[in-house]
Amino acid sequence: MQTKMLLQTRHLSLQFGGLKAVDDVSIDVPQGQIRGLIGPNGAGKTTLINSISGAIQCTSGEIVFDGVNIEKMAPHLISALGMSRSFQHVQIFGDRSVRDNVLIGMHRHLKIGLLAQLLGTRHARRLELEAKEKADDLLRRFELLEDAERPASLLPYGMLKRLDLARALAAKPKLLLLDEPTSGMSEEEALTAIRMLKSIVREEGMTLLVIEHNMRVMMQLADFISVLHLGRVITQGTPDQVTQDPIAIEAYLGEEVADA
Amino acid sequence: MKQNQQTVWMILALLIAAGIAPWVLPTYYLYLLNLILINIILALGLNVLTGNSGQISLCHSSFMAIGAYTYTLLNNHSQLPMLLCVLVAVLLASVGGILVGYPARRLSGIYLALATLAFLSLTQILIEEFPDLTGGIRGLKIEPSEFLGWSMGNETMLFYIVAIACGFCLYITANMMRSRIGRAFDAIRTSPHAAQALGIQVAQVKLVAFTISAAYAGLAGALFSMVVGFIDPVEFGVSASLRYITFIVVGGMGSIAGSVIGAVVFTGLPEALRGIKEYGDLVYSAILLLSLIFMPNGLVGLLRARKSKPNASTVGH
Repeated sequence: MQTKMLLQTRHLSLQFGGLKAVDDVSIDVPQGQIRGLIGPNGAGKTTLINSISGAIQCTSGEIVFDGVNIEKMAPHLISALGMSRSFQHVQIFGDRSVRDNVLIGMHRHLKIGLLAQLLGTRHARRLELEAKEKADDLLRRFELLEDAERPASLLPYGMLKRLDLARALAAKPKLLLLDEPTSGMSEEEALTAIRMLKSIVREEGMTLLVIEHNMRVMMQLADFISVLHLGRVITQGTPDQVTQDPIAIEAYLGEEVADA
Repeated sequence: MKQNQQTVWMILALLIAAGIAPWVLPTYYLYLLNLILINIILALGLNVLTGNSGQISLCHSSFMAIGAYTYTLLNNHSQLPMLLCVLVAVLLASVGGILVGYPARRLSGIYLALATLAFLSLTQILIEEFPDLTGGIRGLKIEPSEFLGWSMGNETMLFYIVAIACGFCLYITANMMRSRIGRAFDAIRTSPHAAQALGIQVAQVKLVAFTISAAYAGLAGALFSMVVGFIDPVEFGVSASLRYITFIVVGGMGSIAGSVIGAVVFTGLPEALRGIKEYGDLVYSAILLLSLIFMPNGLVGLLRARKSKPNASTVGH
């Protein structure tokens, strides 16, 4: 049996005035895959993610997520279908504690009646306690447990990025879109965080679409990479294939090779 | 653990103080204390909506009016027991919350302020246009009633009812902030985009915030009519709504302690300023302005900063 496609875009285009930010993009992401998106600045990676998550409406083409056409859907409906995303600039709930941030991620899976919450019934307290244990488990894996009680706004940037990841994973979406999850982390920090991310994604059977500039990180993480240039997918393949593909090297990797 | 112990002692002290208050306080001060407790209930509700969920409301006095008029009319014209009248008053006020909250799901900032202001005008007009029912601008007197065989005119009894209601609201609010819905309130204020990406239905959470917040105001309204014994539309005008916003801004946004402090200070202040009657409004406004400039996090923020300063310096050295 063929693996089920969780996300498919068909001839997806998005135009800002005369600029085609996304141009006729058709990609298929099978369930359980970690798909990388690379490409030079301005290639349309973030715009592609924005149109998949519904933040920007595409001009033409279709997007099928888990069997449903979502290209015209409002973002809150898409997220209710089980798609989640992180943002390039971390959006943290700063006045809440680090642990609460992860608990907010678990919102959808924490089912407690409103009245039970207000009255603080035994049942509600028990469910909250269980959720807290799960949150602490995630925090431990991302080495944030010691700071669980601190307001999230006090964390340095690298830790915020880790918290962002932990929170996104707590939401257990079917598809998680990550926009530069390791930017601002040191190389070592990034590789550790990515290893943790990958193991949790595999455990939960999640599917990932991730933009990442650091090629070393991307090689560790992705099963399959699509290369974007000027809004188009110019080539795709396994990480090994892509790094040896002359088209990809010229458009993107070449820059890095030249820099190095 | 130590902090838990402290809280238990504080609650015990407050319970004892509340227990003896009606026996030692002169009538007028007991009345003032009742008003303070009622304002605390209102501020707690408003703070959930504005401080936590980030939604402004200029119509909280209208939710209060719905509660007050519902309670008074049921009390005067029906044989329903007191608790049931209060319950209906609270429910109707939350229906008002839903009416405002429903369009408010898609509004924010200045547009939300205007929509809530429109609801306030609507309520005022409705009260004034049906004088046969509501007494119009001449107001409405609350007929004396009984609770568990006690006359509601009994000050001690009345104080205990108000105090228990206030304690209950404090308890509910504390639970709320510690649980799923309270976190969602803070989440939709700090980053609606991130909240939505995590699967929180932002519009629905806003509606819940409006409904709960209006319920607090409805309870405050019902208690207000019991304590004051007379209601009229002027009491529930826009200036009242603005005064409630002052409570939470000066007290501390999104903080239970802030609601309490704000309500205590601003209910007590007009009494303290009684000696300089003409200048009362001036002093009131000056306090509001100065606190906005010098205490952006409210009185609570100021107290917290004081508390943490010595710690910070010991860590520093």
